[in-house]
Amino acid sequence: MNIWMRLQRIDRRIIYSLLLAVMVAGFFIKGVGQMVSKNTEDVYRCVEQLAGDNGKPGAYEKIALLVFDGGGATVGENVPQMEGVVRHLMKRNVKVAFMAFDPQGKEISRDLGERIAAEFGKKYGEDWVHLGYFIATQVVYQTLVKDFYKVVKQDNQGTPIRDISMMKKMRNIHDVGFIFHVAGSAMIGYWLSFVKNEINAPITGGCTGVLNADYANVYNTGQLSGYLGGMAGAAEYEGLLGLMGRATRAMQVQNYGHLLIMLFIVIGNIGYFVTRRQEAKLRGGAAKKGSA
Amino acid sequence: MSFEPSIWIGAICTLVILSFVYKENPVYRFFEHVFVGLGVGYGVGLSWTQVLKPYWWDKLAGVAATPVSPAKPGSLWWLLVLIPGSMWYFQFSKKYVWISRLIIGFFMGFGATSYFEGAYGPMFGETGQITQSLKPLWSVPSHLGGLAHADNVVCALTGGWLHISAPNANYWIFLMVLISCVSYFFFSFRPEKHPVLQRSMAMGRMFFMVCFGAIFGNTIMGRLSLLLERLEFLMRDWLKLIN
Repeated sequence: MNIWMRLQRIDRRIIYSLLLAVMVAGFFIKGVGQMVSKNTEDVYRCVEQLAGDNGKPGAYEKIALLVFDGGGATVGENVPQMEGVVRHLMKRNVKVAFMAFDPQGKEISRDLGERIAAEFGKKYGEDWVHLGYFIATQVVYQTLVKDFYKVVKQDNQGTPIRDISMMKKMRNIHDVGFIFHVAGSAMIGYWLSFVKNEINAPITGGCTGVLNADYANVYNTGQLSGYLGGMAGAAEYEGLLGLMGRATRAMQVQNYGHLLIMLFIVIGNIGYFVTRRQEAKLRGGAAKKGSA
Repeated sequence: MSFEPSIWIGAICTLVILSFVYKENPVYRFFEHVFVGLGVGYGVGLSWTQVLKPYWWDKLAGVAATPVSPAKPGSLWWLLVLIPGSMWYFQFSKKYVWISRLIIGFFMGFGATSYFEGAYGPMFGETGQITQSLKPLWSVPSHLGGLAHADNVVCALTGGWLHISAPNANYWIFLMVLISCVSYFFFSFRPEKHPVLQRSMAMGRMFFMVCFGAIFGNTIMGRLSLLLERLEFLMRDWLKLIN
């Protein structure tokens, strides 16, 4: 077996060990800067727009509706995305209402809300609220549009929704000025199917890296106003906020892992093409001998 | 290094599960079964606390008053929900499997009609996928604003069939990709007899590969994020090597 064939058969344990070593080392090496995608910028712009509109004299104050639709398997990407957007909203004094479309997501988003609200000194019920878990069916989305309070009757703690200070002013879904839905699935489609045409608020989202291509489709057509794609999207958002947060650090470490994987892909491909050429030469030589 | 038992249990579980990367081993298999059991148990618990209790049991049995909310009386009508709910379980009976088909059929019909109602806008609406696939192949460059006016005049004089505008390269590429990818799934003709279709299909396959490559790259990023989250836990919470 020559070197080119060996390059295609590197033991997976060597690859995994190298990947682990590179990523562990990445925690201690200073990372490189990053560019910001337009889709991330658009999410940022939507929050700024809402904060600006709310700040105008005599303006009716709209809230941001944040939906957490991920669970344990997607926290690595969905939580940093949600953290960035919540920090931005609270920094700009926009009132925030959380919803969860996943039972695990309810606990995760409640903890996240409590943690970030404490950072900014925001009060539960006045500045932010958790509306609890909802079973995400088409009917729920359609009913949210027709009669918001038919779906949302109480908060996460069982308090009637009309007794919550920040919700007293909210009349219906049209008082929502920004929707952000993070998920490990393509559930954002329901917002686009059943809600998008009924309201003026921008619909934005955050997805796991696997779903980046799916979200790009609906973003390019203008159906989605912006989205954060995977950990990279979360890191870009932190960059826009001027934060050196969890996602930025994670992405810096991950960059080294990506570089290593790209290197292995290039090595494997070089090995494959060289071997193919050598085999073709051998076959050609054998054919000539046969004909002679 | 942390001395909290919960952190140690988490770290040992993480390391044992990652040991599969080296080789499948009995310890890994034991922990795998523990995780599956925990996952199912957690799922059953969640189903009761988050779904069945608030959406069914509390409505059936009623809820006592709390400091923040008044008492809510129950209603026995909610017992009727058990009928369609239990119909699903007839899948386990060979004799009565037809009962489960009734409820499956109902939900398939319900799902299909809801989908079609919701799919119209995203497909054919102003920003729909199909509407947005019909891109203008000629457009006036923004820095030649005066031409736009001239284009309108020429267009009006010629009944709309003549434009003086520049071809839009991006949209031509978009159209080419769209047609070649769709042609790949065109099975009405045998491609070997139609060289144009053959080439278009080959090109479509190439574009698919580019798309799959992009999806693969994003998948790698997603998977590395999961690994990174575990590494961060090991290094920050367990070993305290980073802040």
